[in-house]
Parts: sequence; structure tokens; C-alpha cells
Amino acid sequence: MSDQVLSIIKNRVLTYEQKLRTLAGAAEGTVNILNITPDIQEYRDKGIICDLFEGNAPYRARYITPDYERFMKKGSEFLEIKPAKDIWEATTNLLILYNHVPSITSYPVYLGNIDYLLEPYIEDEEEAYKAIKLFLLQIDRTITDSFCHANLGPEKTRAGEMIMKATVELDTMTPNLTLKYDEEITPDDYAVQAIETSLKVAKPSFSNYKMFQKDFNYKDYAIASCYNGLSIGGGAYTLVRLNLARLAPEAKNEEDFINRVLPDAVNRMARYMDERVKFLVEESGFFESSFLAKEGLIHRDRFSGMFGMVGLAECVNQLIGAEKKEDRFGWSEYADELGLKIIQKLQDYVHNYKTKYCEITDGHYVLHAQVGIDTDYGISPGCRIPIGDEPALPKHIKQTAKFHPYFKSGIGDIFPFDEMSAKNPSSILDIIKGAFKEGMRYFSVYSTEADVIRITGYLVKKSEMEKLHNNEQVIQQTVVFGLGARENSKILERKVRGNE
Amino acid sequence: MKGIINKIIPFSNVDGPGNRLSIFFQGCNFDCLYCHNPETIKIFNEDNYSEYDYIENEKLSILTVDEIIKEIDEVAPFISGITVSGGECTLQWKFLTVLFKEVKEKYPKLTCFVDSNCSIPLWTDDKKKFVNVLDKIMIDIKGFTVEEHEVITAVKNNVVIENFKYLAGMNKIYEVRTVIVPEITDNEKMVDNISRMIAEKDKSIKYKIIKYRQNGVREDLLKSYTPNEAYMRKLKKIAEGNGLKDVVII
Repeated sequence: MSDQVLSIIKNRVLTYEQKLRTLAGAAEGTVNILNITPDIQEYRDKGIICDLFEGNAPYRARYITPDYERFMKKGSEFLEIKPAKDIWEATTNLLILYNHVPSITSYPVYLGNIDYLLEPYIEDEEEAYKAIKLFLLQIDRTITDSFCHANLGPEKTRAGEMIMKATVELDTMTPNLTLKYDEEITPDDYAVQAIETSLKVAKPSFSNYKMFQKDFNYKDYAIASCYNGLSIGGGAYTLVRLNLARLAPEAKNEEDFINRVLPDAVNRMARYMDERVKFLVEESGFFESSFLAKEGLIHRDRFSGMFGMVGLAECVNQLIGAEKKEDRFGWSEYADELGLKIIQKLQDYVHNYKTKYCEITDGHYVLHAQVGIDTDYGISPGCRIPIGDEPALPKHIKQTAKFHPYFKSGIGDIFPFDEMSAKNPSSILDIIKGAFKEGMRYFSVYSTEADVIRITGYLVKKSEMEKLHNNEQVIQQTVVFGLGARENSKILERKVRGNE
Repeated sequence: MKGIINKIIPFSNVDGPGNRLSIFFQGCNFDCLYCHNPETIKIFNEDNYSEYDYIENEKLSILTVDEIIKEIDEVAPFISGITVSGGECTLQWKFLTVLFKEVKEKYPKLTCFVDSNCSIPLWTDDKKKFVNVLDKIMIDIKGFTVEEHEVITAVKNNVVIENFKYLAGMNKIYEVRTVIVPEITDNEKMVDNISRMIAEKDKSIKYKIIKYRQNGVREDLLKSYTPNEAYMRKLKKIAEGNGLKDVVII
């Protein structure tokens, strides 16, 4: 323990802030309070169950999605903040609150629908633009983690246009942005601006507003962290993931996997999640002590647990022994159908496991297609087709769209586009419209020419990864993950889309 | 009736507005020096298409309208429309008329665009249905005077100019395009003439001036080079000087 602490203290690449957080993690690591049974531990040791470095004693929810609208209306007693009267007060109030919204990264992973939050305060457009640009600059340089996510839309607003324009001018990684998109609500010119923005700074992504609305019982939803769909005024207690690629070797064959190995693994992981949630809710005191809860910005009963999964493609390919491309996931009908069957069964098993504190999601955990971690090697995020195996775009979209409906708390695909597509952004809008009609939930675009690119869900600058590669300090801790993914997951080798 | 087709591209972002399915028909009546897909020039029909041997292992597709509709079915949610190109697609205008009619019936939201050298008279009575059913034409005007057009395409351009005027009057033109090849013709004079003619009809028609590029070109026929950006901007200014509002350098 003291060696580990000393080595963190002496590290020359971590910034002061990064050291502080790493030290806190080391301290938490000394506590062993959760009741982890041997069968759970077995799967943790095998890398089948992974809690994504949430720590041994959860003292804050992993993802928190406060009700910022309420805050704007009421201010905060704890923070001694009154409701804003102009754009400067509005942006300042939000920045103050952001500083007090914890998460697994210590930074807020959700900043609200910032266009709607700021729109009422726009009077003089020039002044508003200046305020918004400074607001975004402040976020990028102080919330140094690109899991931090703000939402836009679905309606077109002046604030939204300004946010996109300023983001391009600032060329920033943070915040990550999502446009809630519905072709019946969002005008084409606004969606095209979003695509043009995305081709320069890899955001906003498009989320399928219709689909999310339906899944959230027609209440608004938040997109936080990578692309996690969560209830506003709530969040996720925890995200643990099941690595299907590592689970496959436990099975004798396809049937054994689906009928014996998978339900057993779901049970082990759900029990592990129960332990984490129970400690957080019943013992940590988080929901009793946080002013966010006391002031009605979050509600314990709007939280749920995210049941993550990765490596479906590799799982399927192993189970059927696919070696040639035409037999593999993403190409063979049989492989894709097996993949779909596994996900349907996974949903059944997860939904049938009743758990105490997930009232908002019908008393069960919700499925999440996890984007992977930097040390994953040869394991594809969620249900994605592996990089290098991507089929032509129409086929790719139709294949992946089949999986998206099952993942209410997040799934997405990323498509880099070439220079010619960038000259015709409405061609990309056509593709997104079609993808959402096919059932895709979340669609991300970036240009291979840009510095900011999407790694697996979060954003990183290529230039920053290069700095870190040369052992220089970087302000964003996410760059560390980006570099790992660059080396281990071939993210720079994604199939580039254009005419096909 | 069947279409003689060289290639279908399900997603194209360079053949009109939005994302489009593009169909390249085989056969052209021009022989442009700078043709960048010369494999589509030779004309075939249903009897001799199997003799196509321009590219090894690539065959022509002889497709019915229904077969093309099936290809469209696969991508219909993702596209704004279809574009027919070539070769010179209007040589198969009867087939196109039926194809467009079927597309419109099944997918009323999809537009049907034609990319053409406009070398066959489109104003004649028999082609009324064809012109009415198509949404817009993208027309190549490769030279303004008969002489320069002949140097570039080996064919006179009287019909092209007539077609342009006829179609512009019907508001059927999406864009006019001219490829700029240094050393072969007087490009400044040519752009001046063409842009003036467009402006007389409708100043809002998009005019694309396209840099000659060597990709795919038969370089034994044409020794030239890609014009620089400054020269293209000069040509753009000339066109704008004649009143055109939407001049694009490609």
C-alpha cells in the first residue's frame, strides 16, 4: 500500500489533480466491506465480471444526472445561489453547481440540456455568445474529463446554435455533446449544423429521441458519460460489465452457453451489483447527506443499476468456431442471429432478476452496451462489429440496429467519414434518418481529418495522445484511456465511410 | 425491357442532394478526352453485353426495372433519391421513364435525378413523359463553341445547348458543370460564355467548375494537368461577374 502511494506521489506524468484522485482510489482500495462470494470472485478473477474500477466502497453513485431545470428555477440553499436573471448569472450558477456534482470520475458526467437551460437568458445575441463561449471554455479546462456530457435538442434553439459554433471555434474535447434528434421536431438545417460540427470536433452524437422517449415512459431522459441513457433527477448507482468474450470458453456449446452459462453469469453479476448498490444506499449515507438529494435535484428512487456487457462479436465467433470472415459476426446470418438470441436471453435473465432499489426501471437492472476499457485487447465494445470486420454501411447499420432496442441505458456505433462526405453533410443526415428508422438508438460521426476523434464513446485529441505517448503531461485524464485504446483496440483503423 | 448497367453505388454523396443510390448506365455517344470512366463508353445491348471485357472479372448487369427496385428497397430509408448516370444514361431513356415511374409509385419521397451530357433532343414529343417524370437534371456543358466542344468530346454541341435552354425553361436543371482542362481550350472565354448563357435563363442555377484530374483518364489521349486553385477562383469570379449566385469549385 505505501509503495503504491509513494509511486503515485512521485509520478511525473500525472498532474496534481490526477494524483489526488488516484490517491483517493488507493485509499478506498484498502477497505474490503462488500460481501463478495467465491463464485463472484472467480468470475472477477477471470475478467468475466468487471466493475470498471468503481472502487471497493462506493460512496457516490457512478453517474448522477441532476435536475438542472429545477436548479435554474429554484437556485440552491446549500450553495446560496439564487435563480439567475441574465446569461452571466445563468452560466455562473451552472458552473458552480457542476463543481459539486460527483460521479465515478469525480467530475460531473451530465451537464443538462444546456441549450434549453440557457435559451431563456439570451437577450443580446453577441453578449450571449460571449457568455456561452466562456462557459464552454471554463468547462473544458476545469472539468478535465471527456466523460462529461451535455445534451442539446430536440428543438432548434439559438443557444444550441451558439454552443455548436463556439465548440468548433474552441476545438474542445469537453463537454461531449449529444443532440436528441427527431426528424419531426428537429429541423434539417439544425441537424446539418450538428453534423458539420461533428465532422470538426467529433460531437454532437445523435440520439434517437423517439426511441428514448418511449423507453423512458415519455419523460425526458439524460445522455451522460459515453452515451448512457438515464432518468433526469437520478442516475446510475453502478455499472458492472459482463465480458461475453471471456465467458464463452466456460460453455460446451451454443446451447450450453445460452441455457446454463449465461443465466448463471447474470445471477453472479447481479448479486455483485446488489452488494454495491446496497452499500451505497444503505451504508454510505450518500443519499442522506448530499445536498443534491436534500434539495430535490436528485431522487434516490430515480436511480438504477446498469448491467453492462462487452464482446458479443468475439463470443459468437468463438461459440460457432468462425474463422473465415463470411462466417463471422457482422457477415454471416447465422452468427448475427445467434448474437441476437444471446442478447434476447440476456435481457430476459436480467429483467427477471428482481432487485430492491431500481423502482424507476421496474425493479430490475437495465442493459448497457459498454464501450470497453483501455486495456481490453481483441474485445469489441458492446454488440459492435469488430474493427476490421465492418461491412458496407447499409448492411452495417441494418445489422447493428437489431441490437439497439435492447439497450435502454446505452448503446451506440461510431462511423468515421471521409472528406467527400464532409462536403455533403446532408448525405450523412439521410443516413442517420434511415438508421433511426431501422431502430438504431445512437449514432456518432467524426471526420478522419479532425484532431478530436471519438475513441469508443468518449472523445480525445489525436495530438494529446501523441503528447502522452511521449511522456508529456496532458490536462485530460481521458487521454490515458484513449492512448490505451489506440494501442490495443485499433481505433484509428475503423473503416472510413464515403461512397460505397 | 432491360437496362444495360455498368455499376450501382448504393450510397453516393457526390451525385446530387443528400445521400443517393447511383446507377451508372453503360454506353456513351461522346468520347471525351478527359473521361474518367472510359470503361463505360462502349455501347452494348442485350445481345452482346457479355462481350464486355474492359475490366477483368467485371461484367455488365442487365437488369429489369423490378430488379433495380429491389436494390432500392435495400437502401430506401437511407437516401434522398436515386441518380442515373453513365456512360450516357439518356441513351436508355425509355427504360429510365419506366424506372422513374415505378420509383415514384413505390417511394413518393425519393427524387429521380439524371446526370447527362444532354446530347439527344429532349424536347421532342416522344420524350415528354421522360422529362416530366424526372425531378432534375445535372447537365455537363463541356464547351460553348461548336469547335471547342468537338475538340473535347468529338461531337458538336447544338443539341446540348438547345436542351439546356429547354430544360432551364422547365425549371428542371439542378446544376450545370464544366470541367476545366488547362491548355486544351480557352477556359476563361468558355466559362464566360457558358455562365452568361446560364444567367440569361436563371441566375440561381448552380454552376460547378470542376478541376481536371488525371484519375482514371486515358493519359495517352490527353496530356494536361490539374489547374491550380488561384486559376479556378479567377474562373469563379468571371462566372459570378455574369450574375450567377451559386458557383462552386470542385
